[in-house]
Amino acid sequence: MNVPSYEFLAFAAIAALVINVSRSPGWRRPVWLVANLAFVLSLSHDPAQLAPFAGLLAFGFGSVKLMERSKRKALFFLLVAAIVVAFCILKRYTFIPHSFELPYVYLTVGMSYVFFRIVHLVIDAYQDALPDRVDLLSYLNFTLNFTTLVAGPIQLYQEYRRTESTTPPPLDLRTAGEALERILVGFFKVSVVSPLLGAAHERLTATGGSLSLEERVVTAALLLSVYPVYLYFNFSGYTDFVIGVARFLRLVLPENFNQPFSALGFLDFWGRWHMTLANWVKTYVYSPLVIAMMRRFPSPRVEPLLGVIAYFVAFFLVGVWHGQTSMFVFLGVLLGLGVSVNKLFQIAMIRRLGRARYRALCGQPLYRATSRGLTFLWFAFSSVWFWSSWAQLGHFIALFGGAGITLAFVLVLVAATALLSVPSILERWVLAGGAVQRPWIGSLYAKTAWYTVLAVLTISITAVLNAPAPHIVYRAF
Amino acid sequence: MPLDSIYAKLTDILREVFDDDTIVAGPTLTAGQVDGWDSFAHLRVMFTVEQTFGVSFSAQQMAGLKNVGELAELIESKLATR
Repeated sequence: MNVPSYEFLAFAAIAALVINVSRSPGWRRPVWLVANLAFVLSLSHDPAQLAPFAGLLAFGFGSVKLMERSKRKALFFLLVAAIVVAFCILKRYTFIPHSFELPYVYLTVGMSYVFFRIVHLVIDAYQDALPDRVDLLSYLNFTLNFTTLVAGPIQLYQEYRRTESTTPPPLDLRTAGEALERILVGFFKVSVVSPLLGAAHERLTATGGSLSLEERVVTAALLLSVYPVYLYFNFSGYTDFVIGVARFLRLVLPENFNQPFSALGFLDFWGRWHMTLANWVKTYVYSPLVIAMMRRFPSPRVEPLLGVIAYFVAFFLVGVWHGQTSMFVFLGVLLGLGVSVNKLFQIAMIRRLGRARYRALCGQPLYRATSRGLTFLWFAFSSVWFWSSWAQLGHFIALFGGAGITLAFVLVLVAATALLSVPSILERWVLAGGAVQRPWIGSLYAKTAWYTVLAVLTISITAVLNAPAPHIVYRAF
Repeated sequence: MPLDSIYAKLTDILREVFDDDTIVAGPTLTAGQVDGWDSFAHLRVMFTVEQTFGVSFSAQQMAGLKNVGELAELIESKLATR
């Protein structure tokens, strides 16, 4: 079953109807498990294909139970290392010897997100940070939650557990309306906008032949900048959709995106893009690493450097997690460089200008616009290692040439600086009273008309195209 | 240790970490109200708190604090169960 799809909507609607028959956890938890297992079985019926996934889940549960009883540090590190190694083997990372790989095709959809949940549970169990003992039903419902299995968002167990209480989050008319809006917006982004951008990007990657300098610059600039926008609509659309669906099941999923292209730096960007992954990495990789290094090197002089190193390591791992080949190692280096150079720049500027003057500089409109442009450019550049291959990269370098690529970078920077300032200008206009003088903009009528147009467009376009369920990029992870 | 003493020590820690003698640790003080309190500065605060009070925090506790009041109560509970 694909997410999002009409089939998934129907499945979720039935699950929501049955689950909401009673508020009692005694009813909700088993029904929830049946729905989760039914969803997994829709991905594969073959026991052999499901076995590796089941093995990882079983090992994870055993590890959590062990950590609830034993607080031995060596055992904790051994279990976490074993889960990481098992995950790398099952995901067939290229640095794992082939002799370790299972010699057949098996289910890997959602495995990364299950891995994050299991590691989080094991660490929190070891650190006594879980609200209570994890029973098998809660464990399976949390790790296999069908609304988040395919590509997140990564919910924490503490948040999930609240929904199993006798007073789950309310589902009144207003909440249902807002959830429907999210589903609609998500479906529109994934089914209409994302395929158009994806098709445009695919056409750009097929560019060849002899091009003039202007054509080379414009094509290279578009090739760089279309993919991040496509990825945003694809992934944030999926996230909108599952957040909306989950509300009907009385689940409040965490947000994953917050206007990422308005970020004023790469550090800020990771507080707005795939936020649940960034938060997970900050909590379970970055923070422990910084604290461990502070204990090892307890000098205030080197502390800022420790932060820079930890940022690099944490986001290098984010890059590596995205794929199994050397392209993703390079992606990790670029993501790590983005955050660590950003941090170094902050430290240098505060030392040079002082906090007050640096803060004043950060408030300057031109500085903010350029920061947004640079952030977008670096993300677009890094993304090349996300969507292409070394062979394609060689082709593009030969096709566009040094001058074409350099000018394309300048063009993307200038265009992003200008275009990404538009929302903040509009926001200032709204705050200055522009929208207040035109009350129809935020009225219920305007909203109804807007969502009706979205619904009609989405249904018509998906019906006319008769295309298969939209491809979700992060489903591959 | 009484909460007043914990807040007094937290005030010293925050003044030292942020190099700002005007900071006063109170229950409603948040990271957003202190200039420079980003994720790295937060870890410097938590590390100094661990050193000063002789307590340690889980990854979730470090990430989940909403204000200085929650930090002070967490320290108090850890000291009480030691």
